[in-house]
Amino acid sequence: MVIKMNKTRPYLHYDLENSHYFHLGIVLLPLIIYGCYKNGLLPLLNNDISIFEFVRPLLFPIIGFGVGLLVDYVIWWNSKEETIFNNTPYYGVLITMTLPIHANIFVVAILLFFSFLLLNKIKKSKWKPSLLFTTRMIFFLIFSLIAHVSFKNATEQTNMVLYSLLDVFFGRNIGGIHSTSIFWMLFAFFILWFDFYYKKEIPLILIITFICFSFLFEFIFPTGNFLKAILNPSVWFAAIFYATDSTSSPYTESGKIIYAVSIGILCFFITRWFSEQEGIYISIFIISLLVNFIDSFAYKLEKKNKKFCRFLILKKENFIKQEAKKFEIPKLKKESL
Amino acid sequence: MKRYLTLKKDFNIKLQSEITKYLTPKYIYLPIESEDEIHSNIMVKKEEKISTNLIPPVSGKIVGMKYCLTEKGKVTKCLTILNDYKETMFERHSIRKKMTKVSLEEMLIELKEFHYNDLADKIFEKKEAKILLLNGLEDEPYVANEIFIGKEYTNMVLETLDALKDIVGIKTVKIIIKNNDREGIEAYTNFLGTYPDMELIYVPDYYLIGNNDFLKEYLHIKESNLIIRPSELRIIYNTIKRRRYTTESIFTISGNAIKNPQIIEAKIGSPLNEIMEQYIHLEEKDFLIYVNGIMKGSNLEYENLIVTPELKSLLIMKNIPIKENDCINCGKCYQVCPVGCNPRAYLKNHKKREVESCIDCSLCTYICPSFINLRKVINGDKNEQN
Repeated sequence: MVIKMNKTRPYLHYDLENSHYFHLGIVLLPLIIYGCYKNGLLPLLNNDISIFEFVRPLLFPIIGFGVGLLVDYVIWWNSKEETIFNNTPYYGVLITMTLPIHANIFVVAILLFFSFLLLNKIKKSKWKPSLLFTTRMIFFLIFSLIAHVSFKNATEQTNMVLYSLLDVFFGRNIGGIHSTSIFWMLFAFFILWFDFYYKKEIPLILIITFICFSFLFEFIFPTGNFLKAILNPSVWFAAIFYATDSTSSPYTESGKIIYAVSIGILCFFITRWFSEQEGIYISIFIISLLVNFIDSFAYKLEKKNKKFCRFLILKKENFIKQEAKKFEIPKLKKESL
Repeated sequence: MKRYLTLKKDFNIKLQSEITKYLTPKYIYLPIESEDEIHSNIMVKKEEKISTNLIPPVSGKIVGMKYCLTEKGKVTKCLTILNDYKETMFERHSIRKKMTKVSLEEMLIELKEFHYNDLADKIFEKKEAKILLLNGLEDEPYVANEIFIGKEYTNMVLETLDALKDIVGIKTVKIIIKNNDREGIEAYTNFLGTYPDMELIYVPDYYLIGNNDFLKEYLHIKESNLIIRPSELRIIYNTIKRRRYTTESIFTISGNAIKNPQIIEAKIGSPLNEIMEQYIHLEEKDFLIYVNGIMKGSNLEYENLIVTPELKSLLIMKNIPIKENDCINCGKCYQVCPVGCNPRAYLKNHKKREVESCIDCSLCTYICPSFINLRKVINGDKNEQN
């Protein structure tokens, strides 16, 4: 009679408090507060918007979070399984933070709800589109290509504004609702750098590649706009928050490098010649379709490194141990024992 | 990613400073491996060879059979001996005054005769070794058997190590302990003056550094070496010097669900529930019991569990319910694996070659942010039988 031995999980865990998700959420707060100030308070003080429009910047991330929660609830209710923690509310906030301020809130809520729901259904099939990137592309198609909604807020639309480099760095720039302040993005990156699960190599390599290509272009075709070009807030925001999305980015070390470099190069070309605001999201979407190939290629490369060789050495030693001759007691025993 | 990781432990779990001895159990249960029939109501003496692997640690009367649980989760038929508390020895041998007078062959013969075949083979395989390493490290958190043997029986450990060095003919001896093992450092440094050939080496508190292969790699030892543990030295000491079987087992009972974690020295075959009732004060009602470690061990009930030489620890931990989530593709399980396995790829495509070299260290499960029990996914329930 044998008792089935339940080899349970080891008791200890590195991150029992789930601090990874807490970090991701907390670093967005300064950006949201700044977005509310830039797109809400400042135009209100300039009398360019009414008091009701003042709360508009705050509504977007709240709606994003709420729709994400609602989608999770609907999925749980349909599947009748235990609630599985999903990143959907976090994705909802990230997407709404990058939209133009004049986007229709109801359209945003409905689009978000249906795209999350539909993409979650496809989630379990062989081809898994990234929830975050695909939804963002849908918004790009609707608000940029079809509806042509401008990224300028009320003040920027009614008045002539000339932003200096310092303005651009601190966030007084044309861009998504809560994704213009490079200063707060760098602050967020600094905090996330110390998070164990954050894929910090990706934004670093992506931005360096983007800067290198911009510099090279500026060197060959001088335009005088080099600094403004590299301080594109959409690129920084997407590099720090979008490209590092764990589920949609590679898990191998070499794969992350290939992924980041590819996005950096593609982003440079698309932002320069197609769309400054949306170029980075298009490049991330395109490269994310190749993540599985990047990972398998990188894994084959990494197999040749020390780790794998060490495994072979260990296996060989164990094999030798098994084959070693065992000591046998001689037939004539010594009496002095 | 660093290969060596320091586990996040609860430093409030502190073991008592002395070993608790439980040497007078009422009944002893010895697992029967062979199909030989053994009759009841027979008097047996201590260390009398009843059959090949049946060596009673006490004298008494065979009263019957009982099914007991061993540390492997196997329920086996056990011989029940009622202890008469007289400790009547079967054979008395005089203590050998100097272990160094024994030759290598004699030592190996004696170890084999006392059924310590694995130890004898290990020493025979490494008879040409140039370095002798004493591995006084414990990988499993909250377990300190080797550390306590080194601390409490330092004289015995060093004497046996010195004798082994002379018998095998090794010139260099290194004692390896963790740099946070304050009591061990104190114990060894007090006695090392008598053994000028021995060197004390400190290593950091990394998980898996106690594994012989990783230890050699960490210390960059490429010469032929013999690695021995304090528990094995204790066996050699008992066999060669005292010429007796090692009838007591040293193991740890620890955890955050008990008030008094401690090291126990108990007779082999003692029932664990008696030890628990007598010495352990439970603080929690809802707890889990891990046998042989909370990283590499298993979850068992202790009611019918008996003490065996392979039982190293019993960890009683508060039951914290954990929910598993979907894999988020972070890749940490792949990065943290010390032997190059890819649990991420295995989770996706279930190809055994991705996890061929798995050593069941559970680092992948430890690091997983989604709390996926990768250890179970990779190794399954190995001891499940029909």
